[in-house]
Amino acid sequence: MPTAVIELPAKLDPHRKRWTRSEYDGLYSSALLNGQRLELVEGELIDKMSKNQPHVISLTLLLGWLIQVFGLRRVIPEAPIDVAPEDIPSNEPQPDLIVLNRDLSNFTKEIPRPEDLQLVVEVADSSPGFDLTTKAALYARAGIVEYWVLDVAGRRLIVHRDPQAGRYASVAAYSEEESVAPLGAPESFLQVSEAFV
Amino acid sequence: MPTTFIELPANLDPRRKRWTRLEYDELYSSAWLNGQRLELIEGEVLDKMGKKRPHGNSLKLLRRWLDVVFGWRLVDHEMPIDVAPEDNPSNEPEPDLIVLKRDMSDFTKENPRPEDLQLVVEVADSSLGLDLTTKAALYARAGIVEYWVLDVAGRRLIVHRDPQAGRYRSVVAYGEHESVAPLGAPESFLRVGDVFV
Repeated sequence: MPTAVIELPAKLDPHRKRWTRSEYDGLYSSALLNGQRLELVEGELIDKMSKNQPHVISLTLLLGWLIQVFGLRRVIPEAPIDVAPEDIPSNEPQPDLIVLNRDLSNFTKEIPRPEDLQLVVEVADSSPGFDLTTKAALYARAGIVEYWVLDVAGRRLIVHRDPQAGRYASVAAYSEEESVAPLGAPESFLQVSEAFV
Repeated sequence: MPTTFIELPANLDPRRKRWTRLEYDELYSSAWLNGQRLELIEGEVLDKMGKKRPHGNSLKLLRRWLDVVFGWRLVDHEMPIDVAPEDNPSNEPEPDLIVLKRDMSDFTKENPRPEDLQLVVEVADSSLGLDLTTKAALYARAGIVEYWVLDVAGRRLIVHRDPQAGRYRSVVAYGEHESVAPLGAPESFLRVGDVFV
């Protein structure tokens, strides 16, 4: 007798197409995706369009603060970066904000490499999970010295430092009433609430 | 004091790019994805390549059986189909096998539509979960009258019939020693064990 009850397997995730960096670059420069902001992370195309207003506001506030501290010519929003050599073939992240070690005139041809960065920032609204796991591991493997995740819904700043053996040895969450200074400007304290309205 | 313990949110999934049918069709016809076999399901581009050997063998055996029963001009392999009108903007599935109601010469320009199909088959290895959930719902919404999932690892055939209100009312699993006839050829019984090597 045939059975009428179907037990579903545990794994329901589809087998998504994995994009290579060269496919991604071809896609990005084609007219097809005109105006869409994407990034390539672990072979997947991630939508970076910020749809919600608190996210946009926090991003603007944080950008303003970083420019005050590091100067206009060191801070870039929405810039693609390189990561660890072994990750490059399937990754081209585009952090919300980066702070460069050198003047941006040094980066007219090639995208910044991990050692060119003193700070990488992601502003997370609905899904900080991805930024705190996959992205944190990717940036740690690249040896990016400091990585901030601004958790808009949770109203906190999560500071990753000390990348070692593919992970950040120090991960600390700062709440609204607390302050933190970036490694690259240890005298300049940001009170976390300044990044929120 | 900042906390060093980070509670991860439940949802670690990134916000993946959602593809429209329009973008997808342009992508598929572009030269640089040359030779890749893909399909669009719920706005995601899925990889249909990388079939393991048992999958290929079962596909071939089942196709041969369908050719004999329905005639080879009604049986098609890896052909994109349309689904329900409301699903078409974000879906273009490419089932492993379809059985048409009319000769394939009627489909030189446009995809077969749900009402043109008497049977849709997916041969599942790692894709079993997707085939039994997302795909089954998609085909049921389209009103596709019969949908078979050949579970290669489980050595069984799961027969979906009677689409009503977006789901198949009848879902029955047939083991290797059981037999089933498609609705479109009720005299022709397939012994499930015959499509496994």
